[in-house]
Amino acid sequence: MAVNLSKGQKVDLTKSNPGLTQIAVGLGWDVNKYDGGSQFDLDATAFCLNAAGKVNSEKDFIFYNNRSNSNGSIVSSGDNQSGVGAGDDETIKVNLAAVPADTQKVAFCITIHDAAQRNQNFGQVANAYVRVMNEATGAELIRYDLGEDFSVETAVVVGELYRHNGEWKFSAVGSGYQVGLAGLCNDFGVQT
Amino acid sequence: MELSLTKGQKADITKNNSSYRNLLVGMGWQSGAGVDVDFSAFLLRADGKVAGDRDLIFYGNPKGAGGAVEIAGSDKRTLAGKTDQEQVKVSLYDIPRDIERLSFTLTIYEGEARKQSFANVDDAYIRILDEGTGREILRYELGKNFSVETAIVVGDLYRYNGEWKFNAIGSGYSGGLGALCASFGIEVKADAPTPPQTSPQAAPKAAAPPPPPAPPERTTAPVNLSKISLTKRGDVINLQKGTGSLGEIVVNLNWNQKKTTGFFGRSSGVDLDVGCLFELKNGMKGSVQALGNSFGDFARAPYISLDGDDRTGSIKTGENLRINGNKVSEIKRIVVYAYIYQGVTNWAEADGVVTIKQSGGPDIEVRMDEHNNRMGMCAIAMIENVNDQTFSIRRLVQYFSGHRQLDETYDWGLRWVQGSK
Repeated sequence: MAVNLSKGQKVDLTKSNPGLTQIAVGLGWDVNKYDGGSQFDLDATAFCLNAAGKVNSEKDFIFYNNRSNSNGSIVSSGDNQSGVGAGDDETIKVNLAAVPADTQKVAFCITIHDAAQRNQNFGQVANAYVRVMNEATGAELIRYDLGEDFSVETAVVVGELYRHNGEWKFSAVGSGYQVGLAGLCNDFGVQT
Repeated sequence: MELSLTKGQKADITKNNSSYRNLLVGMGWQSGAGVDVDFSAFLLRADGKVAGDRDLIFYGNPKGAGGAVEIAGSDKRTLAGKTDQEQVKVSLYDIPRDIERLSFTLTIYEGEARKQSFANVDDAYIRILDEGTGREILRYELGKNFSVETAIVVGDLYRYNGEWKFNAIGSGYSGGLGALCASFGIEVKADAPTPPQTSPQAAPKAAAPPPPPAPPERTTAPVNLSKISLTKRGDVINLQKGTGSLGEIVVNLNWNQKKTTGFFGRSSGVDLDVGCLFELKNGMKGSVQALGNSFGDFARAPYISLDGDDRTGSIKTGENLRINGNKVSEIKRIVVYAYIYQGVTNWAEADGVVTIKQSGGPDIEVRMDEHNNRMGMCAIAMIENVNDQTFSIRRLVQYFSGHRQLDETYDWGLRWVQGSK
């Protein structure tokens, strides 16, 4: 049973889960059941940040057009544009041991594609969630119901994976923005 | 200051204010002439479906959830400076545990057939009020983002972690109430309106009143969403007798005001008026109509009043005659008519519809769908006293050249002179 993320909470990942080397961040949502609206297209993205909180290069921004970081330790499953089917619709996998040393933090974000044009936000997306799993066991470590904690937002920084004294910790950032993916890119130093 | 929500937004109701126990959910809208908007609420379980037909709260089933959810009807309150078109009382802590969500919806009656959608409806809103203090807790205005929808889920009250929250939905379906029902697990009977009572009432005072319309089977039969339409001349129906009093009976006339104008042209629309002849038990006779400024009186004889005169069709609710149902025992009979005061005598274009609304019962609709464009007056319905208990309503839809001819046909015996308003 996973804990529902409490905003601001910091949890040890590798310290309290010895042997945890691979995590997967899974994202799921349901298709729009109403007439007269657009489909929902949610994207899971990750920003690999240096000590200054910025990306070193565009390669450190993992999204639908760049599916892995420079050494392949962080990989996206690719773009699911429809949300059709059960289970996670998109995942990002992280091999903790192989993440480059100059990547101090990995920020995981969920955004709604074209939210402004389609007049959409998380409150309208049915059953949108994000979860962090131990990939080896499939155990769910953390879960976030996006539509319940966020509603008018179109972009959420779910959490940050960060180095602390040689271990990986996870900070439940849970910050919502109404600026979409472009706004987040701006924040993290990615030119768009 | 109340909270104003945007589409998709979710808000806590009880979490930050445990005193919110009994709520009023108010809804309102502005619809164009001939656009008939109905309210309904669905009581849903965790799977998003109703447990049975009784969990659809609408004009034919105004109460549910063991009495915890009830359409206010004539008990509506004017709160925070606004009168809602529909108000629903919700006692949060009396709602059975298995009901997880209340979905408040609006639908356009026969929207597909009449080629109407929520693009034709303006200023729709929902608001949640605290019944005790009358305070507005939150409101959500739907705005204009509809195209094909004829049924919309306006908002949901739902349980989350032991508290009640509200979600502004503002999305819908193009299939009307039927599509909504399907999505919430209610089977809808296709194309089977309640058969109107067809037996003509020969001697209304002496004969036993025709049976009231059979209430829809609530256990197994599919829900019948049709209102009662009197479609044939002579169709008769009795107003449902509630718990004692009939309350206010509203006879609403609405018509389409087509703007068939050229670039510099003026609208050539018609001015359709509603009126009635009445006869009281004490022998008093007369008319209530805008012509001659006979607007009647609701509280005193003739216990019938006219709201006002809508000359343009721009008043979206049309014209209303109000009949004081509590005075049924003093009223003998009323004939309701419409007449064209100005404009071309073109009934087909006016597409008039008279809806007789009673609290707690289904609306009764009479469409002026047989046309006679040589005649400027149409008798619509005869309302007659039945045993001093209720009224029977008989469809007429018969055309006359004027008041005098109508009077003679129904043997009223008034004297008529030319008048203007």
